[in-house]
Amino acid sequence: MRLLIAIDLSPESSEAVRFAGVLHALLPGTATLLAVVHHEQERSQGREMLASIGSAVPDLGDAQQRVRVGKTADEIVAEAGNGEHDLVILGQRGQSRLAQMLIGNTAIQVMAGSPVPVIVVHDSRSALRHLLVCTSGSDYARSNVEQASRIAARAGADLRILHVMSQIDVTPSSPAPGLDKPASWHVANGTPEGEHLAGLCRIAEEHGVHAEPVIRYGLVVDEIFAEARSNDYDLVVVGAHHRHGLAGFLLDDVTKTVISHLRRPVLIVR
Amino acid sequence: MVFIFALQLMQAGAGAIEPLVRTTLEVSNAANALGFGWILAYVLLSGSPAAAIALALLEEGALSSIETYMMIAGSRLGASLFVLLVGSYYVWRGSERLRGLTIGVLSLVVVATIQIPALGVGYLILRTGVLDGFSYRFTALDTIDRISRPVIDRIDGALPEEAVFILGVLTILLAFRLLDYSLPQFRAEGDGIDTLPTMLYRGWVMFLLGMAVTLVTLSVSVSLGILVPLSAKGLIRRENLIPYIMGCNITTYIDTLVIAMLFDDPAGPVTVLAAMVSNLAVSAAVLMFWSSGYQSRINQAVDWTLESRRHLLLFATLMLGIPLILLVI
Repeated sequence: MRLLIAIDLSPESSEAVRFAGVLHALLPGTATLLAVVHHEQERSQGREMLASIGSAVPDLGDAQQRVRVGKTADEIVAEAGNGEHDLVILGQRGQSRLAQMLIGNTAIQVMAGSPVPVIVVHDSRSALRHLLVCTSGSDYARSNVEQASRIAARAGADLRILHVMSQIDVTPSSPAPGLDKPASWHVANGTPEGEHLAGLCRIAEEHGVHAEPVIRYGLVVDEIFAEARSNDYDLVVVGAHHRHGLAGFLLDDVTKTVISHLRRPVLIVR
Repeated sequence: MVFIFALQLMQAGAGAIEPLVRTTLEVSNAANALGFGWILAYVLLSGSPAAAIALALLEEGALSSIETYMMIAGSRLGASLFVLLVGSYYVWRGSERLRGLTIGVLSLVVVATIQIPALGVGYLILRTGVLDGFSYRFTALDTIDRISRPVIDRIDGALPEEAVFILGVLTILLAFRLLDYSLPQFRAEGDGIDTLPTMLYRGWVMFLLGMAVTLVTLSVSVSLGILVPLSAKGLIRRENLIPYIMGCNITTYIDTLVIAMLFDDPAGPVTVLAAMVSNLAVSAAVLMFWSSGYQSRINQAVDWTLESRRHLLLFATLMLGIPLILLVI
């Protein structure tokens, strides 16, 4: 796997680099460390930053080093799009919605523009044993599971596939079987959610990865966070399947919230 | 026409009600007025007639603008209980699970948590007088008044003042019932929007939808009922419902605003507008700055309430006890 690790001097960057080291050790391939500086005069500073990181993380000792000058998110996206990389890794600082509106968020900008999957890291992990794949129930989840399965297969990790149901009955007499049932009930009874999860588990099995379906009930973001915290996952996989036109205008973007506040590494699949 | 007739009856009889309100019930401050409007909505099983009564009392001078505002706010809090009562009936009948009450409890909690901070905003609006420039009265009233006045005067002469007021209240209940029947039966069969149960819409999208739908239905519970044919199996995502209810809570005041414009006192429309603007301001602030946190807290409150019948009973006791306590402050 060809990794592109984007860095600056922030603590979050260090976390991203540490996690990249774990991945690089588990997933054979190449690694490129990229420093983005804002002015040409800062290029040497960028090179020094890269050199210090290269020596601090032995697993990345063989990584290529590049410095680009310009706007951080734009340069990372441009580098990611040159055809030499399979995955981008960068750090993320937690931000309030107001801060995001006023200042912007590099990780979200990169996620929106990158042609390859992106891993956003708040806090690093020392191993890759448990992966959590989140599915909204759409067909896009297939690519999420395929990407996660490839990583899990190489790392010898297991997979859990999570679907959150936040629906409630609008009337007291709404027929709503299964709103408080576990995933196994849904799979056994062939509900739409059960069939969806069973299909995704089969995809994982095809890659030689054991996958377990999970259904939670409550607000989508809250339940993703609760599941991610409860079982000590090393990597959470979500989709960022951009909708265009009216759908993009009307529909909420859960991925942005997850990236901004979840303190596990998050792999965003497009 | 029925509305105007009802309001004129209430106006004619309001003089007899003032001693009842001020002396017997001792509604003498904002808290009392809030509790009075709340309980009145329970008694009438609807918030709009209670709000109309508040405006009639303002017109008579029995209530100040602030007290009228509080009574109207209380009527909104009381209106939400009906949804819960209907659901509770199913539960206590033993045929439904507690989860079936989720929509009723959710509706109540959302309205209350927005309404309470909105009280302060509305109070400031009225005290500062920023909306005092708004003045509108339906000029058609003069024509209608010429027609109905002889009838009103006859009834006023024949019956005691209290009876005239009660007749006015019964007439306005009839008027609202006729309005419900006359509104178009919205039955969207879902071309495109039938993804409502599976997709997560942006908060402001559902908020505006709630406002738009309730502009037509004039009722939060009817607006919620409309969601049923739009969703498979009558299920809607909580993230979509909460901002939808917030939106419904704004334009549900439209009928009260219209009624206020039918009275002579310009303070009436200003008071109702203050209620709408204050709810809009608080809702907009929550959606912009605290949407996720607010939804989480509401969800936790609803889940706690429906965890057991004991919690539900405690919740219902609070909803009945708080207005009674406010009435005696």
